[in-house]
Amino acid sequence: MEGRLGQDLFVARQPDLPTLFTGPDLLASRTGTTIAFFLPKSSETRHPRALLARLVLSRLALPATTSTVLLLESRPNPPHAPLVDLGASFTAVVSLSDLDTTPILDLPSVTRRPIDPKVRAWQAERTAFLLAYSTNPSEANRLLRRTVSPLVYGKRTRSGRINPPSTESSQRVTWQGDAYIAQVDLRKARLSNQLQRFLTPTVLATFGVDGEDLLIAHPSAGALQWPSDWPMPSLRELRRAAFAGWAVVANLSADAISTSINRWLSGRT
Amino acid sequence: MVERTDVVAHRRRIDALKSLAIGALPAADAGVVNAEFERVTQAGKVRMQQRRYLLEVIHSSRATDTGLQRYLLHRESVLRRNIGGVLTYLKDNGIGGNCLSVHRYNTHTKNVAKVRNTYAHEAGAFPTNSTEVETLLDAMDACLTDVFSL
Repeated sequence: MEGRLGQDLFVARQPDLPTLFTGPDLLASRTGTTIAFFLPKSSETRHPRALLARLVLSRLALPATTSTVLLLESRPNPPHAPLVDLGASFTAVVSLSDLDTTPILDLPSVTRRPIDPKVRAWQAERTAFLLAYSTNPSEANRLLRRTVSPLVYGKRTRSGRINPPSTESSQRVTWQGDAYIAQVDLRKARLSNQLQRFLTPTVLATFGVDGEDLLIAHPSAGALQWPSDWPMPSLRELRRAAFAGWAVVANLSADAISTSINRWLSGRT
Repeated sequence: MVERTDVVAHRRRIDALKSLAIGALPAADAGVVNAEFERVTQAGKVRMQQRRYLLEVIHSSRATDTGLQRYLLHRESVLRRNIGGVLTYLKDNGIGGNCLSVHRYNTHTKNVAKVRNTYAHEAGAFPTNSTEVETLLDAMDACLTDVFSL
């Protein structure tokens, strides 16, 4: 595919970004322009909301002007119909077969609807809080006393309660106020595998997508209760979990965790 | 740090940063920053472990410093010479009014600037293992992408 994009672009395949478990399949850049390409995995073809969640986190992780392109294997046909519905959330939809004849100059170089800086700021603050909560809960609690969370903004844009993600993912996730708390699956060792089933519902519970517009639909955050006798995941994995809306916390009760998270979400100090 | 099995993962990370630098910076600046990122990859071939770790830290930190400095100059026409100066400016003024919060400023200062300074300025200071280097490189990646997203 890269060969079809032309010589004037720098192409990064399966780019490894510090905040994403799974990001775009390809980044193509030239001066002042970054285009993120998404090729749906077979599981995303069956469950398009998973692709939408990947898009949401990727857009939040990439510079504001990054345009996003949905690549479809062939011209739209019935099996792709649900994905085509998602097309409006991308800057452009291109069929792989058309990429041969679509000059890169014709692809959108800048998104028309960059994410509101306040949404990005909220996401960055939530990540910082959840990462602190994962690595040093007492530091996060000190932060709670000092910082007025920017969630006041999120509360204003809230559009009503959403269904708990447990109905879509697993009984291991429960809501406590605006915090979602999950217990680990003892059969899975890696953090990314633990969170895999929860990511789509929790990302899409928090963020609302309307075309290319990305809003905070319901300010929420969560924690995975980590067994105290398991080694903690690496900082890299914790950062990615925090960016996706999850702290990883050992040795604290669900009530204590949800109290802290709800306090941060409410912006009370 | 870069064992044979990690080469692909390392390349994916460096390529992602290069791609973001090209998208965020004027061509000449992106060229300078990306040449430094390429040296991080080249440093992975050095046989002496301590020396390899240090070279990776130095080249990554030069790429991060220069990337942040040139980005600030490009977006705000403001020159700050080092990462501390850039982060302080971003905390106080931001890019187009979008500021780095105090907490994010503290995180990047603690995880990037202070750790890097230890290795760069203290005689005999070397990262002791690849995990330490990886952690610092991750923190630098996160700092750079955070700022490019402001």
